[in-house]
Amino acid sequence: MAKPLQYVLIGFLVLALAVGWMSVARRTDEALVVYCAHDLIFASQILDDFESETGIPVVVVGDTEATKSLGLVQRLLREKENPVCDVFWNNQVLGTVELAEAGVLQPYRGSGFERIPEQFKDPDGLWAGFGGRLRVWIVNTDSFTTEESKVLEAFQSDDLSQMTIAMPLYGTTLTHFAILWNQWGGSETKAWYDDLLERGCQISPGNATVKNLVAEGVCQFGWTDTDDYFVGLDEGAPVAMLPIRVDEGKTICIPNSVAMINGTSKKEETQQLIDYLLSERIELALAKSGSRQIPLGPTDEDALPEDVRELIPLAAQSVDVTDSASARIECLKWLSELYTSPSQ
Amino acid sequence: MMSAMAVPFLIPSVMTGYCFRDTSMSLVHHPWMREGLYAAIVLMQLFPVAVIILWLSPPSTVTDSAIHLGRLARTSWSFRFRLALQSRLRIHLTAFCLLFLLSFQEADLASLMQANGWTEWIFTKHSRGLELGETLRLAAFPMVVHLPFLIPIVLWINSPRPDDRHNIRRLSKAHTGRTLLICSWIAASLLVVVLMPTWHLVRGFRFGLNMVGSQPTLIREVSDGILIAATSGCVCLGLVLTLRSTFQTGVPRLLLFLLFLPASMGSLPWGLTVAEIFQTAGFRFAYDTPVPLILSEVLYLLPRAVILFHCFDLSENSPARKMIQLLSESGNAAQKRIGRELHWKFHGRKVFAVALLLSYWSYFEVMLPSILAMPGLAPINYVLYNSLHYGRIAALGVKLAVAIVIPFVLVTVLISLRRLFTRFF
Repeated sequence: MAKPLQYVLIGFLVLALAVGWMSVARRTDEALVVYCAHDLIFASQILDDFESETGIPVVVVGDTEATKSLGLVQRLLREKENPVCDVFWNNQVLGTVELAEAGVLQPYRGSGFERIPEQFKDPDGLWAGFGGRLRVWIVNTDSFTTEESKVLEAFQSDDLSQMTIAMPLYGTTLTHFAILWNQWGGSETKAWYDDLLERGCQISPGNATVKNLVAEGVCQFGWTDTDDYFVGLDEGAPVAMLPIRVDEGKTICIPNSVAMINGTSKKEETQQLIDYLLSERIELALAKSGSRQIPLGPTDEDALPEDVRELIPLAAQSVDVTDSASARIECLKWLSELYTSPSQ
Repeated sequence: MMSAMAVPFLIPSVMTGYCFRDTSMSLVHHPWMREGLYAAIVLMQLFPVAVIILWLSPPSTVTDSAIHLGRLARTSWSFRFRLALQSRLRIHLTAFCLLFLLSFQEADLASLMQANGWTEWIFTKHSRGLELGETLRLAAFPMVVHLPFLIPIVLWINSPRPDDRHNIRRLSKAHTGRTLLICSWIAASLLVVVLMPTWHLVRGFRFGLNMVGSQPTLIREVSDGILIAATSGCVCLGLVLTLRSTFQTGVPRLLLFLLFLPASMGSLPWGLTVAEIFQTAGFRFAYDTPVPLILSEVLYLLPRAVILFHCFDLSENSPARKMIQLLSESGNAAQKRIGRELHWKFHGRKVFAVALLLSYWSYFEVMLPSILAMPGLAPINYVLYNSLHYGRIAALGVKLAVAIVIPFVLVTVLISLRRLFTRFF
């Protein structure tokens, strides 16, 4: 190829790449940057609707399985001095509490905040919860009974090879373990988990995999969240669910949480999005979505799907998840060491 | 033949993961079978690399007879050891080291199939969040393991170009039995790593075709992937070409070592290290830009680019190259045009192939974009990998198929455009 032509082609390539990168950079110019740990399959529609209704562009950064569900919390901590994100939509609460304690968040008490019950929001207004999920037993109805007493009996047996739970280092299973740690103390939780593993309980990479293993009959029962259970149910899998109960028969309801990042330059737009997410309309939309999130604020119950309406009394019996914030840090430290010790 | 052999190595792990993830998960009661399945797939994917290295490498100047004579002459152990290192053992050692490094670094498929490994261990270590010093300390572990295996590779790359009369294909000398074994293994690799995942993809595509309309971000995600891949591929290529023109007699060994070090950490520790570095005061200004991602991708791809160029050098014929150069510089316009065309066939095509391969690897890289992509940038492979979390949803097959087809079409258009240009200019 002739030299001048070569230079023209290289020039054209450089120009094309520069234009491409400039258009990428422009995407965030006026946009709200939302770090979203909730499944994007469900969250995208809500954020797209916000964008089209308000005209405020939104750029979403999702969590990945590659960095697990702790990825965004760690990223926000890393970016504390140089914030890139405006709004954090977490799919649970304890990570958000850690961010609040680390000074990553700033308070906002808007109309949305006011409608959320005290139990599900930070008294200083640093975050608020919405759309909760319950921790549940998922049972394969083809190979096992759905009777609660029988499931609990099987859980106490010597052989747990037919049971599966998600790796407790991440996500809602970590929250679940933090609650146990808070109730029982560290040494009892450690002994209990050792015993669970000794009896052959299978550890899966995530709650979706727990659902898959039980739905396909590879395991008879396991622990997951209601959103994963409903995905299985909608796929026609032979599954049923029972609420997981901890001390005093309380259930575990883990809400989503939303917070404003300290140092955001788009305060007004951020507040608009937070109010939007905490509104009754969005709680209803989440309840009607495939993930069937349970509304936490007052909502028109007649507008809720039947299966979500049945979950509302169970959510009301939940432990206060935020009580376990400090337990989570200790529990995570132990689990991290446990899973990286040479014997593992 | 060589292209067909290389196909298993080029199949993206997200595609094999898409095919085998459920099978792997169903082996939850048989962890050793799961590890075995993972190891078999990785071996099938990487085996062609070793065959190609052995095929392209010229025979050693130290023959088996020379080693035997050395033994008969009762020369010193050290001399015989040095002799052995210069024999064909050297090529075998290089191929082995390359295989070891590639399998040791494999992280994407391991994560999708939940196979145990040091990458998962490092993930877990980072679950609490670590300071830069701690991240570097953890990254030192894979680097220390990598270093002894890097030595033979660096020496192989740094060795002088062999005389062309030695440049003959090795497989022609192979035993029939061995050839049969290699061919069977390659056939099995093609079946397990290429045909089965392709069939899953086609099936997923058929069922999910009507869902393409409900994926408005698909084209943007593919464009983002292509943008990162093209930028990383071109910058990396430019860097290697500059290195080659600066050090015409061969890049110094120490420099090669240094350039190979970042990639030897593995993509996860390397990505985390870059992220931490760009959060320090001196580099923070560039954190929210494409610089960290492109820099990390370029340095991660660099060893592959160097190895690819060395492989092409080994297969090149110097007198032919000289003749083509003379033709290209001829005063006769027709000769000059033929010379230019030949130059493209013998040299340009190789550079283009290296650029394509580098871009291809960058396009299907998962870890680095997941850690370093700036907000608003969501390359398709990262999205696909994320979607696998939800199981085999129908739209995933469509996305994966589109992700593979669009770059393929783009490359075909580029090649056609080049032909068009050379016809008129």
